[in-house]
Amino acid sequence: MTTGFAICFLVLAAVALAAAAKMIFSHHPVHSALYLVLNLCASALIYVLLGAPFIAIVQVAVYAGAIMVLFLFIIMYLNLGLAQDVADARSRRATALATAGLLAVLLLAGGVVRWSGDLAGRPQQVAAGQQALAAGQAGLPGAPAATPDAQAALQAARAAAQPQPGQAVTVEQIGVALFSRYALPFEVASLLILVAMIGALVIARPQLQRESALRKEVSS
Amino acid sequence: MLTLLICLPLLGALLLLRRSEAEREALRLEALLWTLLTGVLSIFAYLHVIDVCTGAPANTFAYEVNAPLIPRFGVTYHLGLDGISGLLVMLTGVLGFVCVQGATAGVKDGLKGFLVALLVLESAILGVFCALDLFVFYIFWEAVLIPMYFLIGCWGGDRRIYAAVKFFLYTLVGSLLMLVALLFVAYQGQQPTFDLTVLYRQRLAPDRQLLPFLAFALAFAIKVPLMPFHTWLPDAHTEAPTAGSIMLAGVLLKMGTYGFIRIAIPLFPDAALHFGPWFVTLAVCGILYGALVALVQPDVKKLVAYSSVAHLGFVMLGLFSFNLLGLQGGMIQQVNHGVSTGALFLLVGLIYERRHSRQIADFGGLFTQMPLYSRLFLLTVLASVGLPGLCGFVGEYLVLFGASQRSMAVAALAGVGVILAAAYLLWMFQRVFYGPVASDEVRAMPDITRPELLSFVPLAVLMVVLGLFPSVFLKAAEPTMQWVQQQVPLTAAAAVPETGSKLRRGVAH
Amino acid sequence: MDFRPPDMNLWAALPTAVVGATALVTLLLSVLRPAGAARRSISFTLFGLALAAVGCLPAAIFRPGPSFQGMLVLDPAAVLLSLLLLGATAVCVLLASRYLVHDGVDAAEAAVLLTLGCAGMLFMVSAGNLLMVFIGLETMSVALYILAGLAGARDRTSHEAALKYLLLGAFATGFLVYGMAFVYGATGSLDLREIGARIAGGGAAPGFLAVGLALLLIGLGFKVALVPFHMWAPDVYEGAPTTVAAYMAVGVKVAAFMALLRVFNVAAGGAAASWQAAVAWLAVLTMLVGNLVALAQTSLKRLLAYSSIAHAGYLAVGLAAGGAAGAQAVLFYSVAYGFMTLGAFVVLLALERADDKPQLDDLRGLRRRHPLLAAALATFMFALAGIPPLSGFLGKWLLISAAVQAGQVPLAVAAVLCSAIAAFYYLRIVVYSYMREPADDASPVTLAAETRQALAACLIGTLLCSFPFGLWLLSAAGWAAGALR
Repeated sequence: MTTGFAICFLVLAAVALAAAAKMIFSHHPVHSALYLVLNLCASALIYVLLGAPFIAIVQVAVYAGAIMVLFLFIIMYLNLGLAQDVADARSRRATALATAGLLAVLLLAGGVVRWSGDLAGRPQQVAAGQQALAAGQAGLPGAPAATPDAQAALQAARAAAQPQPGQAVTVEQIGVALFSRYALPFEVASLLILVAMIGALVIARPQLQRESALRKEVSS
Repeated sequence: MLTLLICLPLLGALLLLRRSEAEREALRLEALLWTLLTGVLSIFAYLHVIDVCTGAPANTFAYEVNAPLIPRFGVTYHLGLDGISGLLVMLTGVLGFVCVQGATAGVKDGLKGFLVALLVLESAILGVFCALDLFVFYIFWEAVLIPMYFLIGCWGGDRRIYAAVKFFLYTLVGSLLMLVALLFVAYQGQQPTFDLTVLYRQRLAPDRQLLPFLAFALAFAIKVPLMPFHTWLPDAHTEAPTAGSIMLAGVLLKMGTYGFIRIAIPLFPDAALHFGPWFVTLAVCGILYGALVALVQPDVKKLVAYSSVAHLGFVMLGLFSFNLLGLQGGMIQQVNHGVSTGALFLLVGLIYERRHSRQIADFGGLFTQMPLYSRLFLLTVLASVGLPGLCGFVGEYLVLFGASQRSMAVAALAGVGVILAAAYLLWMFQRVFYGPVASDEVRAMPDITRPELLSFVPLAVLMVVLGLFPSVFLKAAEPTMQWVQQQVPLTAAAAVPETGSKLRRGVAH
Repeated sequence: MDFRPPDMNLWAALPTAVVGATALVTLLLSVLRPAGAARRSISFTLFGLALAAVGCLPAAIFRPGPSFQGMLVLDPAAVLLSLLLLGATAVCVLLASRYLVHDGVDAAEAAVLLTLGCAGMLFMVSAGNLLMVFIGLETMSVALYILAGLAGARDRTSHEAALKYLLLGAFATGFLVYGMAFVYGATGSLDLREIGARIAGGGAAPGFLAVGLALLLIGLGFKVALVPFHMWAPDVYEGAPTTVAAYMAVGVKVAAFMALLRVFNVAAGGAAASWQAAVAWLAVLTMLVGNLVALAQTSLKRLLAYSSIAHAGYLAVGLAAGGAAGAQAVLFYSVAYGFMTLGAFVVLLALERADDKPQLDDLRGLRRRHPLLAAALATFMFALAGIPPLSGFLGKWLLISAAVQAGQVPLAVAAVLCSAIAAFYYLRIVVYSYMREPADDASPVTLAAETRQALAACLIGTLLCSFPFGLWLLSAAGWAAGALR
């Protein structure tokens, strides 16, 4: 672990924690939501640092992007917090600017550090990882290894098959893992989502029924 | 054979369930049939035990069954009877019959449930006495609680709920600690085993015996009950319906003393010896305390209940004398107590049904009103106070003699208890049966009826037989008792070896 | 990068697949043909659950090893608990068809949610990977969040219960996932067998592992309501419809305990020193608090809630004892507990009136009002109290003997003392139903056909777990515990 890595990590972690704290303690729901966005972005950067760019992108796109927009939409829809008119706009702006600047710096710094590190050793690492992965998987379902030596070798191969920190995992690798090793949880997760969907419908249904009844009344 | 014996009442209970509540007479007769069958079978079993066990080597069991039950845990289905348990099994069988015959008339509603509970209770008690495996023993031991709880709680007197819950919780606390101790003992050896006969052979080191012994002793002492743990007994006895009291006094308490003989003393002889003086002290306190409290009771049933505390004190004193005389005395005394106190409860129940009162002050002059009943009562009282020729005498004599070998002072104090026992029982008898007829209600009380008499006959027979031919019973129990006595390392602990051997010779004659 | 097709041993997934399919088909049928959907979906769901139970049999016979890359382990222990969970779900579906429908809930909805929750539980009991534990737990929990709020139209406390359960459940899930991350960090794997191998081989970072296990304990402890993570349980049980409360008390607890067993006893068995004492303390605390607070309850539902908390404590004793003996005790006790608790809840349902929650006083004179119900209730109470020869005793005997065998005599003593306390309030229920006279306005109790069937199922189950029949289950549990890897 290089010093640059450590510094980046510590700063990002501090930002994430501070944002989380602000999210909890701020009185305005919109502020809370925005702090949450900051927190999520900082975590995304930590993922980048750990060599998981795909997860980082998902994090930003899904959480910070889609879900937070939904959050904000609902907050505004419910008109919460309008009563809380915060007078001190200037100080807010200053804070916002400072935060945004810090974020920009961090994003850049993190990206630069990561990128340079990746460029240096990536092809070799990926090749080694693939070989190890193949070796590890070959050993996986087979009969138990006979000698302790072979066992140790198998262990080492399995360990090598695990993506090491600091080594990027490609989308391809994730896809393969999802549909081979993690096929079952992947499929079962759809069941989980189904339950959640049914649940949402069940909860919302009385409301829907009431509304449709109302509509019928109005039209008749 | 023993399985059949245990299952008979249970089977009867199950078959009773299919009858409707309304057929009172049919219910009673059917229950009677089952208990009669059990009783006869138990008598035959005991006769066989006398045959097998008299003069046999130690730990010879009649009708022994030994099959693995849970091999992984070393639990075996090990049943067997020897001279001690056989006698108690016979007592249980007889008392079961007595209860159904003599003590069901007073049950006004829920007769079916009552009889079912009684039969299940009988099954469980028989199981306790037959078991030679700690697991099986414990199951039956605890299973006794449920039917007894219902008997007291559903068909008892005014404070029945309080009495039932107190009885249940007191006993449960004791036996749960016993459960831990039991498991502790079972896992001591190479392989876990709950078989008593195996456990006898792998004894714990003396210093490791103390805590398990205390746990076992607590459970048994609560059941006996030994003095400071006796408070559940007067409540339970007084509130229980007559049949419940008979079973409680007759055999339930014997589970405690039997536990000492069968488990606590032979498994942990060093600890038993170590704590012996405590138990002797408590036993003597129990004798005197029970007698003194009984002396001032205005309620006949309560008086009999406290007399139980005193009598059981004798049993414990005998057991913890650790010599053959005392042990044998304790053994026979517990049976005597079962017979005579059971009979007393039965008789008290009969007048309670007639008069709906148990206060001594409400009675008087019964002798002229109920001559036959009064004579039977007198017989029972005399048996209870230990008139020679009746059952109580042998036990008390042996216990006192045994105790005197250990300590003259203790024996003297216990002797005071004997005198007090005579005092409170005879005084009670005098107040209830002599003097002027107390009231018109008493005048209207009919004498004992034929069915009631029938229920009393087996007990009267036992009283006389136990009193006249004690040696038959003592000889059957002797191998086991002698063995138990040898387990206790008296010689190592400054005992009196010469007197011990003299005693042994004395009893052999 | 070469792609290896996953190892799909369908025998191992058969029961869960059948359960999931049942839910989906029920759902579709009720949408496509709304006429008479209620009855049909109930009977179809029951049929599906029975089919899934049959589907467990090949697994019991062929003993498929870890399947789907070790994700799913349908070993004998999993089969045993799956059968219990399927039975419990069937009973709850039966009850739902009567009582939840009474509350204005659509029968098909209730059946589908219960079945999907069951699928989640089945995944949990046969999980071979922390991921599966998580997904199974979430599937089960989400279904239950909804179910808890189902009676909201009639009873506002139901909404409160659902919300409380959701918020605290989500909180607990956070702990759980965080713990899994730490365990992964310490051992480099989410696979339970591999975690075990790493720990045994000394290849695990002890500090991280301890933190991870502690977090996992908290997360799963929330689900099984171990003190001090039990705060939600009484309110949620009381607010949720009784059918759902029964499902929570039995299903969630059994499934989550199996997960605890797999994670701690089996996978982290090599690191017992780092968690055994903590689990033992939690067990003592749970038994003590659960039983003591239960003493003061007059609402039967709250009483049963605290009783089920206390029982989580007993189960934790088996967990703390560890080893095959502990696992056997937990397996047996789970089954015994499932039947007796479910039975107690069924009796509660039978006594429930439309307007209020049953109190202790409502039990007065039950012996005269409905002798059979009273007898069943007494049986369940004595079983819960652990009086021989009933099922609860055999379970406690196993637990205590496991603790003694593991040299934890103080834990065993604490367990028996707590069960002595527990006997008091179980006895009180029997006192009320048997020994007190009925109130003057007490109405006779009538049992619906569904209730009668459910009651019979629970009663038979309890008796089958009792001495001497229970000895078979006992050896089955021993065998299953021996096969846990």
